[in-house]
Amino acid sequence: MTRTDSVDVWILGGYLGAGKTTTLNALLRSPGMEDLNPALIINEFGRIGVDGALVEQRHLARYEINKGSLFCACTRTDFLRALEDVADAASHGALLIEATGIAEPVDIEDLLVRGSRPGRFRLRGNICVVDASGFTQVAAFLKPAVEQVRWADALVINKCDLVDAHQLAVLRRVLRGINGRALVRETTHGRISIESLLEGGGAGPGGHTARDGHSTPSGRARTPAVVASYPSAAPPDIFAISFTSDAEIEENRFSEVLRELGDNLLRLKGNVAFAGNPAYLEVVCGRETRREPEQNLSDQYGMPTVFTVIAWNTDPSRVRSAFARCDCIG
Amino acid sequence: MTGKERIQHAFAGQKGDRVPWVPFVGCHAGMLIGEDAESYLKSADLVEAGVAKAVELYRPDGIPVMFDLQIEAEALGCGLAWAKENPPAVMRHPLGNGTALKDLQVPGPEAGRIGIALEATRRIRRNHPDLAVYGLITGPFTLALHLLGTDIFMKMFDSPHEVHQLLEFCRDVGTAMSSYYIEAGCDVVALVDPMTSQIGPEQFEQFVTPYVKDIFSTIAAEGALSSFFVCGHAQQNIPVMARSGCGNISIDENIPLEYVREECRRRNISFGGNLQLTSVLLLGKPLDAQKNALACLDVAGEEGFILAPGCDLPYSTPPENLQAVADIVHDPYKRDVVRQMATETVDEDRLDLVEYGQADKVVVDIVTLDSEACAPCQYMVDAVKRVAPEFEGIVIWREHKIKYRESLVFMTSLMVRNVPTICIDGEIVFVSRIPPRDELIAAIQKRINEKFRIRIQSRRATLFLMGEEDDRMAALRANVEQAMRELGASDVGVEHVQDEEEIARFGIAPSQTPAVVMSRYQVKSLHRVPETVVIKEWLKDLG
Repeated sequence: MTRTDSVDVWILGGYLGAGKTTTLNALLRSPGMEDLNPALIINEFGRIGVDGALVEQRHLARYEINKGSLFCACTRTDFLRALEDVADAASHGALLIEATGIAEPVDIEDLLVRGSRPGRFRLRGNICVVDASGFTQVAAFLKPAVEQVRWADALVINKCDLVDAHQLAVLRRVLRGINGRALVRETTHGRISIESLLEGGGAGPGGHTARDGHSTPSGRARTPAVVASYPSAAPPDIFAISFTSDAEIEENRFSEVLRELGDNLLRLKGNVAFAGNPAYLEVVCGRETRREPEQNLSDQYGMPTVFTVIAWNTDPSRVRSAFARCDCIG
Repeated sequence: MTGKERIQHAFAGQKGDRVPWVPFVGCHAGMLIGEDAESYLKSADLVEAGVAKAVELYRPDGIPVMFDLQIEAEALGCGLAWAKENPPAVMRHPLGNGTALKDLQVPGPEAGRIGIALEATRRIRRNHPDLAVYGLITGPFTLALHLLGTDIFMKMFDSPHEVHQLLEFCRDVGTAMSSYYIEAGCDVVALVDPMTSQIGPEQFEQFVTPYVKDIFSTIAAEGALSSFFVCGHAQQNIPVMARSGCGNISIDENIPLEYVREECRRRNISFGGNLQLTSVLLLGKPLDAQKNALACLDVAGEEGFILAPGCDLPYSTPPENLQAVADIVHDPYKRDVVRQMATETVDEDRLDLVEYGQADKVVVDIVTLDSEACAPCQYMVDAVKRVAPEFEGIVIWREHKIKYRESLVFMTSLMVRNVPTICIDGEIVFVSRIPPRDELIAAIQKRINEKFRIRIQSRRATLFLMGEEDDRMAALRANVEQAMRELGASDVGVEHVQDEEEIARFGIAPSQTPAVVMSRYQVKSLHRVPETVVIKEWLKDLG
């Protein structure tokens, strides 16, 4: 291993359980990566499992961050120190950073550029693993889930087998709305070849000849000019609104509202006190299931109807006024 | 006005005698007394000593007892991982590992390390009666995450009632902790809830506001002040935070201070922050810290603002950076100096003054803000003014007022970082200190001696012997050679000039020969193009 002047960095993000482990191991196995003697910055808390054999066999250097999550706290000294250690070791040509589900990718990139070893790192790619079945749910509550998608160069949509074709189509539209430039790959059980993430630009491990700049997995260079060309407008918001009502809900009118909101309504879950037919209702991309109401939920709010809606690409006031027609107040 | 009074004024939205300053010293105080974070955060004795050291070094108006958001979590059964240079991290979440919420009890004042925190509070209260003592409690949302883990984000949709029940419990813990700290002597209870930066205002109002409102009500009812600390990308939540019943909002560098100022003033609450933790306080230099502090002060104004770091100070923050901030907080004059230097010239504007000070005379430069407007500058100028005549024309002095651009360029070119400063022949000699008369004379004399030595060493000369080659010329040459031999002046050149026209160019008539002209050379510059200002100094010597 010869000493390299700069360390190629891959950031791997995604909410817990999205399938980051498999993607990380795929990255580690990718051709040329071994020659770069990669180092890992991982989070003890992140529940990510690195293939033990891989780690042992290749003597991978692991720098663990003693934090509940990368950058949920303001103190970033652990991460900065890990970066310094990797830079000063002078033997690593690559660095893989596992960002926990609640890390803001902008913060990581910022510290790579502005930390105490500026110029030693070059970002090769920001990869985000998306759980097909859970993304739209978590994105409504957890801001960084959206930000990680927004700043990704490649999106791996995992667990595609857990959703139907319509849900997957809606998810693609949602992701495209957040980030229209990232390379998107769909998979199940985290099976993904790293080559498929790197196609089109030779920006893979060892692909230094392809570009001098900050190449991304899809081969684009993450230069200031490229970043400046990213859409500056905020992506369509994914938001959640909780509704309650002490009135009996007219079922037809409620269904009308659901139809009216269409694909803007990603999810709905909770007790709805339909006249004579109260139910715990769950709607995912138009697909509806019902069961007995959850008494605990109604007791907590002191209302027979309590439900939460997740919507996107529309105005919250439109959603509120739509459900207000069924006497539901959000 | 005491520090505590300044903080009280700021909370009331009033202007005190100056802006109060609260360095959020947590495990950093451990570094100050040579202890690692783990030892420090487990000992009331060490916390007491660390805070005392921080008070001595940073001259604050308020000080937190501890900055550790894991105290409550640990008492409630969360597993911690300890570090040497960080507060501990929560690694195991009891509600995610089989423990039921109903099995958790609000911890008492002696549970876990709460007793240590309260004992430290009582001692700090006693040791620093004039300071505002801050007790920091973990906000309900962050505590809920400690207890449940990140599953909370899924449960906010799947089981919101469970999340509410958990937050009710965390509210009760926060209320109890507030009461403990107030009873132990805290003036301010700061509710620190960094994880709220992860959610939007809708969820904040639903899952945070009801619970923090209750805690802030309790704090007010018990006669203390309340502050709401948040860090991270939390700008979206500032308006809802300002409506939550707190008396102050403190933010980090991720949120523009002007935005917080406007939102807080609209709600008549005070605000604080937002010194940059990593890029400035941890990685920067004292001047960077001062510039950053000045920028905060300028944006925030003097009413209702508390200058503070964005969050818990990193363990290894260089103390000199925080002392530099304290300097400009306490000294309006130093503030003015930094303000001038904030417009510091870029490198291209700097003069190359390597040859500065090569003139025959000794040049004393006094870099000041303005001796007519600032007392220390005036005293320094007066000191030089009184001493210079004693050197009978050998010493010349000049004042450089950095309110003028050319003086600022001169200052930065000489690498001067503080004013007033005395430079002698371009060397920084006295920084922010008026030298006693004898010391100043000694410094100038030292330079004169140096110059004399340098002059002798660096001068070369040629003796031109003018006239025909005759007996008198032969006698002259013999005398010159003997003189040179006796003085060891072997490097003096000797040239015999016989040509009448050449002799005339030296201003000597043929009738005046034999004549001797001595020409001396002095090396002024090598391998570089000297600045005009430098060449002018040399030329003045000829006059």
